[in-house]
Amino acid sequence: MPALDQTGAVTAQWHVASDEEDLDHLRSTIVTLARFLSKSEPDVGLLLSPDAELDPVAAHLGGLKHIGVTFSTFKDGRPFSLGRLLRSRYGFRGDLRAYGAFIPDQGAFLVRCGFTSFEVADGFDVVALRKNINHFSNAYQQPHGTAASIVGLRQARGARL
Amino acid sequence: MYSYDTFDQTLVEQRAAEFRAQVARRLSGDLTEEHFRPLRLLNGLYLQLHAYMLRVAIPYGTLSSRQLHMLADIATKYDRGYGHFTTRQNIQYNWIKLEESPDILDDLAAVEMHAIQTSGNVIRNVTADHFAGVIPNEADDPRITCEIIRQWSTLHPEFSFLPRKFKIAVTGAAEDRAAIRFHDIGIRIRRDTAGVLVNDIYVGGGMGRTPFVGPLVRESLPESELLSYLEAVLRVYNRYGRRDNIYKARIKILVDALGVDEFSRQIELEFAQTRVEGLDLPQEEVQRIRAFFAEPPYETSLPSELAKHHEVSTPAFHDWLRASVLPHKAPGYAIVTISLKPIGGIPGDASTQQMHAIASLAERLSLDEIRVTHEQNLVLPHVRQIDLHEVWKALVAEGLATPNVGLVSDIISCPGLDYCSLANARSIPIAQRISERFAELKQQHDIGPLKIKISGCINGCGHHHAGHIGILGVDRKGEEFYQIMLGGSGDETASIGELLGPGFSSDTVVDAVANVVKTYLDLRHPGEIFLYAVRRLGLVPFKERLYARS
Repeated sequence: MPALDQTGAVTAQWHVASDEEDLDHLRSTIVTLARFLSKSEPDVGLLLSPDAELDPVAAHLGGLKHIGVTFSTFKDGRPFSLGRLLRSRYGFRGDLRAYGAFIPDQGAFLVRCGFTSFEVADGFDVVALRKNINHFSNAYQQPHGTAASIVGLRQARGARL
Repeated sequence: MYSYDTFDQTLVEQRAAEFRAQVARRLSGDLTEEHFRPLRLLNGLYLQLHAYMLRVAIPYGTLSSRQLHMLADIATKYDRGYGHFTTRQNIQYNWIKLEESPDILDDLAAVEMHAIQTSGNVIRNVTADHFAGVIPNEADDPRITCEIIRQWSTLHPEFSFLPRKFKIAVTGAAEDRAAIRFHDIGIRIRRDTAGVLVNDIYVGGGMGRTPFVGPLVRESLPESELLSYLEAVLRVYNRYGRRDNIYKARIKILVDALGVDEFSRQIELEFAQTRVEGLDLPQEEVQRIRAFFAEPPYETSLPSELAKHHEVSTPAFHDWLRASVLPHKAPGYAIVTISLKPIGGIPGDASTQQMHAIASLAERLSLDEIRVTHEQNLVLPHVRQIDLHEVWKALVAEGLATPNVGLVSDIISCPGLDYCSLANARSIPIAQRISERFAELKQQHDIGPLKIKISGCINGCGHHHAGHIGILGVDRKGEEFYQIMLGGSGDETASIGELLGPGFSSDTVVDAVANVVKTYLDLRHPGEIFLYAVRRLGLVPFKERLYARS
């Protein structure tokens, strides 16, 4: 189960702690929302399910380093909304990682929604993922990060003329 | 009409290239059918009963001559020499080979077209009033809003895996020719009392197994805030729409379950955030898009010849004028609707030759523009009145001058069990036989405006819920049966048809329709059209006659 960054390069995995186990602070660890809310442990990240509500943890989100969001099936698009909300509304600046059943062909959508890394199963088509992320030059919608949308590029071009 | 810049063009070309690679992965076995299916659907490629079907997007039903010529060529090159115009202003090809589908997308990209989001659980091709920009008394050309929505919704990273498909329609007129209240979102553009353009937003309309007339959820939305409002609706739907049951996954079910007030409250909460997140287009970009829809160079001081045509014409030309020609907002021009409903023909089908002929005609005599209607006809939107006779002669030569627009034989029909893997019953043969039954034009004129709409299954692509007479094909123990409903309408007085009673076999359904029409003729008030007679009379007199023991 390797982890990849948003260029598709291999990066460090995070430990997904169960709700019972003791924390090992030598590695990056993420915990469930229930554990996060009940134990107030320092230096842990958060693993969100697709139906997670963000308001209860809003106060903590800006300071976290790691958040994972799980896909239950690739057809369930709720993680994309969570990604955009975490970035644009809750000010999350850390590493946002997709877990679970997403497919390579969702790579660019994930990156544009603010995901910065992926945990993938053995046999996952990493080549297809890398291609997908870099396939489109531009998008109509403002992507997460510093790249301009097509609307922004048109504005810039108009300003130069 | 809108014309691509390098950004639009690059995007459709890259999309076609991406699909070519996905098809290659599928053919090599690297992609399973389970994973390939949603990817091909996002490019309009369905697997039907006999072959693949490709649905090509015709955004808000507007085509140039060059584009229609290409659609005609595709029909010959990759299909069997014809295409089928759909109830969502698109065109479908029914005999496509998977291996060739990437080539079609390349051909489409060469004329600024694509098949993006014509299927799948995404925001679908946005539709509009087919008389947009040419009908008198419009608040605004809805295609400007449509093009803004088209770009915003294309490959939207957040809304490409929704609980279910999502359809948006826009009108800028008081009369509703876009059936906005049968859409997931319907937008009516109007001017408020100060003369400022605003949008009324209807959410949660739909057909299918649970039909709803969409309620008004937001009145007088400032035009400049449309995209942030749409983001709010789509986000609430993406997060809270049901995903456990495909039949309860449309937004209409969420609106109904929450109630309009609570749904509206949740949207407003989300909208309060999205409207300050910089999602709306800068004014310069709105103006850039608006400029593409500026009035074409109409000739001034053209003679107004409509009345004269009506006086001096031969009976056949006169019949066609009466059915197909409407006054245009520009003096001396006319709007011409081309019926794709020849008596006994397949509703919405056009051959390669017919498409080329219409494209050439538009090039010469309609300022290079064609429209597709959701009623499966085509429109020449800018014809000089002095050219009407020439246009008519050209259409007669191609079998395209059937003078039945808006009459009983102008039937909407889905492809049904002749093609579609979802269908329970055939639709096309029923449409063909009804039109043959009412073939005589004098009889059609006597009956007056009457919209018959036929679907071959509960999904309702033939809009049966919105038919003055709606016909729904069902499967009863392996046999095709047809239910009849009365009183539906997709116009500004939107209503859902009511079921008359037990269904009819394929052999008896045409007689049943004739029986309903006869009851209307017997009971109508002078000048009362079918729909209003049904609304006044209710179903009882129709039931009594239809189900009377003989």
